[in-house]
Amino acid sequence: MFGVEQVSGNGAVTVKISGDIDLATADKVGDALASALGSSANVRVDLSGVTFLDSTGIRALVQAYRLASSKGGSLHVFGAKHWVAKVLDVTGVGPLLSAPAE
Amino acid sequence: MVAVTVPADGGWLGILRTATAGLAARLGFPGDKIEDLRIAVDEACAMLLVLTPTDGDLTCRFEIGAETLTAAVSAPLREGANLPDPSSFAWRVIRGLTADASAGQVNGVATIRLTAALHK
Repeated sequence: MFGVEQVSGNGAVTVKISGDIDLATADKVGDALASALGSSANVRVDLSGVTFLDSTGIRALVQAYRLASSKGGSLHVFGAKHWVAKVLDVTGVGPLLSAPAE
Repeated sequence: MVAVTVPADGGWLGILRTATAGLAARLGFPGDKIEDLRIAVDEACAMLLVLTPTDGDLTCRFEIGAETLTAAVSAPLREGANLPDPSSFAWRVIRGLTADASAGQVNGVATIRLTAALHK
């Protein structure tokens, strides 16, 4: 089942998404990320519970990334597994959305 | 040939993904190929769903070859609607996950054909 959960702490907000991100749910992802960016300039997106991702989800993530950048903040994703990571990779957005190396 | 027709609504995408994966599994495709085709069919359907009238149908025809499985996804296009640019995220996913992909338009009906190869 699709779900979104928001956790705050250490000056950042983490949005944990679970289930399938597709045409039917991508708008909810976009709304959740825009809302998180309303409460914190720095947002982390936990994709470890995501079971499916397609380009509609990629578009929502990239739009949120641009929104964060336009506000001088940051947004990055982590925890993508298997084909979720593969879709990030084949669309070329993996490096853009990954956290900078520490 | 196997064909699945669903209403043109995003809520049916999960059903088409499941049908795609089930068929590919029955035909003996390995797990990684099944997942690639499942995502590619979803992409093709999502691409057409935003371009088709909401009361229309989306049809996915599966053509079973000796070494290949081709999914042809068709839907009528709204007047003035055009398929996305080849550089779009949707096409990048489709090209990255299929052995062959093409799109065409005949009499206002757009069809996206995706082929998965059993070996390759």
